Amino acid sequence: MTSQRSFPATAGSIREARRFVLDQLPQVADAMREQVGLIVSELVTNAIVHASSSYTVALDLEPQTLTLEVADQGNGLPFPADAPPPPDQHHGRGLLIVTQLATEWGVKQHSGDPGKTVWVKLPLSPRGRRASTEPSGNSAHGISLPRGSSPSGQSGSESNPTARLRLAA
Amino acid sequence: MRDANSTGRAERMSDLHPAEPENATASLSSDGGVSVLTLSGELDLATVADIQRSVDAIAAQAPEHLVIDLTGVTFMDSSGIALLLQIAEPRSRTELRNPTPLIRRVLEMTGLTEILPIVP
Repeated sequence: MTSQRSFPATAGSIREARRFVLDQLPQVADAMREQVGLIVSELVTNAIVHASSSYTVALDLEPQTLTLEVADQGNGLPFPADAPPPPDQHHGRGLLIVTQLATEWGVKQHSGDPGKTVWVKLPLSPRGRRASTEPSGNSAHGISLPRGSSPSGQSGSESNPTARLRLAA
Repeated sequence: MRDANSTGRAERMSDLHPAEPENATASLSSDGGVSVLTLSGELDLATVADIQRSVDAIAAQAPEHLVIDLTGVTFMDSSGIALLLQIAEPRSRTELRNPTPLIRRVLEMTGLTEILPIVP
């Protein structure tokens, strides 16, 4: 199942994006839903703050895995900090959080028009099973740091947004 | 001043109606001589901006030692963390009370439990 929705570049849309994703995950355990909401929030906040862009959220729900994608029109590529920023730096923790919570994530530059798609994969724990609160992934488990960070990382010549989103998964 | 004890997380969640988005709030109270800044709602870029002015006003009059009660905070992302750091920065001691397990974990993974220790 794949679904997607576009949102404006407004701070008020962040909560709507969380709701859009979580409304489609009724079978997922509460602890995992909270994590998914956090990841969505971090990704779409980056689209609004760093890309100043409207954005499209897509999700692909498989039995064991959720793939989330956020496409925006910004050309800047996201890089998480190597280490947590010092406390006097108030911002810059979003991707660090995503890296810690996700199994894998990456970014794909769009070809033919501006923008990029950030994708995140998460293991799903169904409602009723004990949800792990331990980190589900770290650098030892094959975190995929931003791909497509060089021109060689671009995908083919797709220009259809839907197809591009699917490719990004 | 709002009674922080009357707005537990579960109660707020059950009161939440989809057609009425939950707004964030900030209020100051005193608990046994300790100043308590009570935050509630979902803290993201939008709601942090909504309460920034009242948090600034509260932080300006609050003493060096401040407890931030997160019982009513049902969601918090890095925009909320930025708000907590901004409150804590000029103070000698800022403590957090009752974050959700995920918020606690996020504070741990971002290395902030020293500047924002969690107290019972």
